[in-house]
Amino acid sequence: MAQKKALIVQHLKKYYQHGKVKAVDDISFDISQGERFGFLGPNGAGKTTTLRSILGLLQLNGGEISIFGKEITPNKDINYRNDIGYIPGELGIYKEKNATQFLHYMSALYDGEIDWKYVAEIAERLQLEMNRPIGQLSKGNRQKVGILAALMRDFPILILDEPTSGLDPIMQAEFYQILKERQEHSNCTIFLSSHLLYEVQKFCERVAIIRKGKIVEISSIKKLITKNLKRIYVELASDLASDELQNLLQTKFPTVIIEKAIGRELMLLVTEQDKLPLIRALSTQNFGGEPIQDINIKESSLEHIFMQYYSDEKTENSRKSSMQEVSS
Amino acid sequence: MKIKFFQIAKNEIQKNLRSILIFSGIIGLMFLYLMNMFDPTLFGQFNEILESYPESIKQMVGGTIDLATIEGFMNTYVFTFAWMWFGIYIMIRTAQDIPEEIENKTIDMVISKPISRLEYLFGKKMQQLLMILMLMLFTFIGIAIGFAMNEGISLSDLNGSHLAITFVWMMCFLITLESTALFFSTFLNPKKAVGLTMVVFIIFFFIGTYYDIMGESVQWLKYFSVFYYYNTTPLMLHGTMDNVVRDILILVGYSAVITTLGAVIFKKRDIPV
Repeated sequence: MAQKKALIVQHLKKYYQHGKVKAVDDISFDISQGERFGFLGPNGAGKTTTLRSILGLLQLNGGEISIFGKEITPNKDINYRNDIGYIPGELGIYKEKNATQFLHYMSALYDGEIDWKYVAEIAERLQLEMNRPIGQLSKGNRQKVGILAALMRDFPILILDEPTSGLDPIMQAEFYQILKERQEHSNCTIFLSSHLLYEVQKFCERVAIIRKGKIVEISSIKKLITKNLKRIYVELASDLASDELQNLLQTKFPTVIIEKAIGRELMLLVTEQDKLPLIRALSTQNFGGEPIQDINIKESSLEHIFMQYYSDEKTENSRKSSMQEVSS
Repeated sequence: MKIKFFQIAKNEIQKNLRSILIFSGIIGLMFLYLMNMFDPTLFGQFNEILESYPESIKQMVGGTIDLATIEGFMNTYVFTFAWMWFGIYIMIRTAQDIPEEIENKTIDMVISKPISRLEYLFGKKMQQLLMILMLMLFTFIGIAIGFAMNEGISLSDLNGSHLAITFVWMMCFLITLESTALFFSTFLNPKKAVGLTMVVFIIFFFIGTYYDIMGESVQWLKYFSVFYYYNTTPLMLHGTMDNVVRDILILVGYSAVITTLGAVIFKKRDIPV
């Protein structure tokens, strides 16, 4: 049986300056109930615009949004927001209030009750001083207040825009632990937008990569990593050999990305398609009159895949070929 | 379902209560001092001097000046200068309110919740109306204590109903200024909202006050100024009720229309990052 969809976004468009600036240009994706879905992209790619459009903070230029199968008009409907816990990318909190006062105010804007015992428990785990004015808190501690506001109810959907911004690594780990526990308990859906790729790689099951307002990839992280670029480390006998190999790559393997070239060592990013022919060439040919000294093949991290989508024209070709592979 | 509009208003009042109380307190004390200062004999001597003033100066205080009576004194110092004592403060506060929430990003946390933008806007409006009410209350208290302290004022000389109507009229006038500022705050940043509110206010002031000295062909412009509909002199000085109800209704209508326009714009606008 197909999994119930918590969020479906279809052909979402958000333009500025009478259509000259396409912040989000016809993007579509869906997130199943209980899924952890990552949303990746550099600054200005359209991540925050997408999230804010879903929450009705922006007027859409087109597209449809459904929450648990019910189509919503974000600027008109308001009740669907009872189901969403949200951490904005840039958190604005009334500085004169303390966390308790702020959360009481936030809770008053929702229909239904809040489990204050649970809120106190999370605050304790995040080591947040609830009675100190927010204006006196550090950035990380203010972020904890935002986290509490998003977790204070059993929201079926959590929309988290850079949720660990300002948190130290221990608190980041604690936050993700809390999220995991929450999900085990309530099977909530998590839509996580972040530029911290390791966070997304570690926490999410699927990811969408957005570039210049368009989604360029949606895939499970596992599939992306295994089907996408491989990192090949090559050690050559001399600098001359390194130059010779680089010439060969340019002529015979134009889609291979030279990630690093330090003296006689090269780090290459290679598509699945190029992998075997390149290894064959490396193992059979001499460079600078000598065979290669060492070769090491590694899985690419999400970071490298991400970089692949944001590099130059050369990478564009490589991306297209790897996309074809992923989709096939 | 909760009425969240009250939650917004409650939060706004909690946030601003202290500063509103301080300002209202200062205004109340100022009027207490003014009323205590009133001396018919002393101020009566000013009448002759003021009569020799240019017409444009007299227009500023409603055309007729009579400082020898408590009604005339109050009309000049309290009601005619309401724009100065209260109006500027109300406009500056109101014009900055929503744009500052947008700049500080606090608005995101609120309107991403199940609350409509109209509820948010009217929650803000409620707080602003309460601010005007508070100013009126403290003004009234200041005046009342001033009356009690000044032996030269005979309460029997004062027409209570005229005074009450003038207070309501002043409140309606201040609400028009607040509504104008609220309108600009729905789509401009803090600086622009304050700037444009003040520009409109100055234009209103000149065309509504000095229309007599403008060319006849452009005198019709006065009908577009809220100042034209707020001239308390005939009522306070001569006890005439002519056009009072009409003017109050026009001021209320203007406030309702411009607030609705602001609400429509605010409902449709983007909340920028």
